[in-house]
Amino acid sequence: MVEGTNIGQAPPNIVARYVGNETINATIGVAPGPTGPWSYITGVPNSDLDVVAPPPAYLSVAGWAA
Amino acid sequence: MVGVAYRGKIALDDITVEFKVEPLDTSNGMGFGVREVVTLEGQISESERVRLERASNFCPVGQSMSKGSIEFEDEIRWSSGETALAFPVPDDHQPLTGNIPAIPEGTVSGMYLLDTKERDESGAMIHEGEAKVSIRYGNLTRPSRSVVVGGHSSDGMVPGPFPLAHSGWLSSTVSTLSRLLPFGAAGAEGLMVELFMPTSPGGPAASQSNAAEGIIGYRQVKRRITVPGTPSEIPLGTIQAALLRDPMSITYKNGGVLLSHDVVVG
Repeated sequence: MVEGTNIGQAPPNIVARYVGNETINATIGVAPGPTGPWSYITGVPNSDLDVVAPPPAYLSVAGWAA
Repeated sequence: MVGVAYRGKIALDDITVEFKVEPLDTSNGMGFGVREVVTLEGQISESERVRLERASNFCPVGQSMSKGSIEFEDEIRWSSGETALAFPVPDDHQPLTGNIPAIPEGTVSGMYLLDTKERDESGAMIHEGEAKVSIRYGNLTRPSRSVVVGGHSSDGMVPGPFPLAHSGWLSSTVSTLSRLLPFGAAGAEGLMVELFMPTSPGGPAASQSNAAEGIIGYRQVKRRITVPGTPSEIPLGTIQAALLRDPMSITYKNGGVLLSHDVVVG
């Protein structure tokens, strides 16, 4: 079963940007409307400094948990 | 799970889930795996537990990470203005070399927020409600934690589980490309990933029906990756090779992240 057919015909649902200092900002629901926006910070795993937020995979698992 | 139990008239009073996130040898590509334990509360028979176990095993979001149910196509845009499709990737294309630090060990625990369930005037459930998700993970100098809330509520209350999971996927893409691509002096500034995700026909009810029946619901999405620079500075093949190293992209493509899965009655 394949769900969804109108790929690319609407604004993006989610945008993730590198914002420096091993940090990424992802925003859900960037288009005008009732479903968002919500922004989440994640940290790029690295060997030099503590990350300010969980690595990205943790955010995906959080969605699974929800 | 709450929606499946409600539609199946299973007396599920409460539910929690815990994922243990384990770093794995990078030879499997993903670099991590998860062990899931779902704990059910209520007067639940063994046959009902088995039904809920199947629904849990075919959770729509879980399918994307354990069964590869997301079918995605990539478009690359350079800040200089050129665009290119990045699929299909040749079978003999080799992953880009370079160091990606391991995903640290940790846990992700979901607690159902019972009073967020929404009902209509007749008392029928119209939205399953929300979950508080606590994330604990290793950091370089100390353990760290954070909390997110997600689920199924009236529009605008909280993000749904799929958008949350996808935001992690896109962030992982940015993370990996920021580590591996040969950026110029400005570094990864301007690196951006967008997702175009059509609305699921039938909404959560259809997805939960699929889960209850053990059906994989495939979804098609488009990912657009914008990189700073020009195609001569950062060639398409290099970007494709870097994507072959991204833990979440590998997980979405191949599934297989679930190391163990238990559903127990507490």
